Amino acid sequence: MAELLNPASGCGDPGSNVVACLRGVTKRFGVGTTEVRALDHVNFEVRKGELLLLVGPSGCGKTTLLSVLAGILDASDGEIEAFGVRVDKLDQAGKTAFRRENIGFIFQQYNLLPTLTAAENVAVPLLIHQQPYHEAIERARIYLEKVGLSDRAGFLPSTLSGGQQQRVAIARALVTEPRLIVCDEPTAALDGETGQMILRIFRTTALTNDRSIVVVTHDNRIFPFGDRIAEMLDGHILSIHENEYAPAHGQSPAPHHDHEAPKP
Amino acid sequence: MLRVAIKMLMGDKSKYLTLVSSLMVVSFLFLQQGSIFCGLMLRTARPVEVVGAPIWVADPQLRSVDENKPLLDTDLQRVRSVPGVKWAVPMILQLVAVHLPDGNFQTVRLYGLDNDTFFGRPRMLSGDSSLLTQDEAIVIGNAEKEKLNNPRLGDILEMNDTEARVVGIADVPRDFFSYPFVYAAYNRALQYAPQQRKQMNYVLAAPVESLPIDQVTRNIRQVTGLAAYTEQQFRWLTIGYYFRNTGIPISIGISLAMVFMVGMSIVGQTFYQFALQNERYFGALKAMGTSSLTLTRMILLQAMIVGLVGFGSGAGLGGIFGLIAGGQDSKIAFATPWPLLVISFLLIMTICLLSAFISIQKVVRLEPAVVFRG
Repeated sequence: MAELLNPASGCGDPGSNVVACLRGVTKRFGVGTTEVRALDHVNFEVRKGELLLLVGPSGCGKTTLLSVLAGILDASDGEIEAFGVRVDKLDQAGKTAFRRENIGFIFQQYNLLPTLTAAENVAVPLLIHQQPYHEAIERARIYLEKVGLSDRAGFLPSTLSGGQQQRVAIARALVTEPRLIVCDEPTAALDGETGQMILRIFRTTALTNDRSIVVVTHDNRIFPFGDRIAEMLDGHILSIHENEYAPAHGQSPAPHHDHEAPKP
Repeated sequence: MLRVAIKMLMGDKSKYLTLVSSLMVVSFLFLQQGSIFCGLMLRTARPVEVVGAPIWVADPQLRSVDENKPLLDTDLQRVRSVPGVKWAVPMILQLVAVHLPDGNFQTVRLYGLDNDTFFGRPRMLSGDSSLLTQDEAIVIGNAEKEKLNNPRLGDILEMNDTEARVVGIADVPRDFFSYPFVYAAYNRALQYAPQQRKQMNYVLAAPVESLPIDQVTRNIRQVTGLAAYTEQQFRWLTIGYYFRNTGIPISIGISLAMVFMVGMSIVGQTFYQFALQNERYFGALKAMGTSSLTLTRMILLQAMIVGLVGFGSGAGLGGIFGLIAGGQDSKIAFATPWPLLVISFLLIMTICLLSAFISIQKVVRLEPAVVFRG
């Protein structure tokens, strides 16, 4: 397991290829006889500009790992470093600021505010950054155009299809140009074709400017899109495979390319 | 983000309307009950207001305008001799029974006005108050005159076995007890009121222009040993007496407390449900880097908006109720002084802020990781 994290990788160092890493991270839920170790001494790193897929059966700790990496859940033990910052050492206000500045989020259920239009939803992270409303909306429209939804800017989420809502969520995650985007099952609520379209957007639009993307997924149809695939089981990372079929940045994989799910 | 908060609030129309309508009803009930209470209390001081005297001199033991503690006739001269008193006149104010032509008796509030000046005479609706100089002449107030069988000019009533002829109808508002008002010249009033060893129970006075009224009332107290009040002081003395000695404040207070509790429970629950329904959105906002302080501000803004809109609607409804049901001549005592509006507003905002506090606790403690739970 130790080989999964190279201590000399220079996590966060200037010029390093590693942007985020976890060292010996454990996350326990409950106490005593009810204690569950969702993560058990996990070592893990995210490289600059990669699309990393986290896969494994339900309950294996994928989402917990993603939450700890993104600074929305405190680890019980271990070190978390991202972009040169010891995230585990930050207080809650520090973590909030860290997320605001560095992390974009994409959720399985989109979590678009139902009373805001698509453009307003995309503008929310900018408003959190205290940008003036009209400037934020203008910028949001640019990002909606990037995901092919410029004609849906004034629509409420309830009037959009699942795929369109997820594209709005992608635009929202991109609008502040974060250095890392974390996605939890972004295609789980979508049909296969729409899911592939979402991942194509990840590769062609999101994976730019050395931005890294970590995707938790069960969906083996999207495995061809990942640069690396990390397999988890029972709170451990079993293996990390380089995906030899991964397309170059800015491109999507060839259609109908068969790819089997990695076996534990 | 405050704009987002407003859209979150108003976009959920059913919750928004529930909150606003709850607060509207609560603020309406606050204002309606409070206005009736204020109206009743202010009516206790009507017998003072209708006279319009700058200074009232009375027995030191007197607790309200409705008590009858007569003064010595010589007290009038003593008051007139006090430095700073410009003029002073006697007045009788007593409750007397009128024997109606149908054989019934009706209690009225009898004013015996100074024979020479008729100071304290009301504005006339019909007839002429100068006719009070005539024998047996009385003027009756318009309000409650139906209790005297709606007498017309020239009709004869009987008080203390003495006939009284109506020479005028005056514009007089209703008082707390809903007694008809009857005005007579001082000498005639002595005949209409039951005989006592002393009859005059008030001396009305005015200060000279060069002295403040408070100093003149102080002078009267020091020189005569009598009680002397400005009109405002005498009004509040009377209002305070009824406030302390009737069950009205407790009854209305219980009503208001129940309104507060019902309002608190409805608004609190609705707000909490609002927070629960929006949990994953608040979680998403937290995950994206919204600070707890910003979320607190958002919820407080939402609470203030529903509070303002709810209070405004309730106050408007209360105003309409007051216009329709209230008024000087209405049987319903209804008065909405500005402090009542301020108190009602503060109570509504208290309900909103307490309700918001419950939601804030929920949202601030919310783990942003909730957004990744299915």
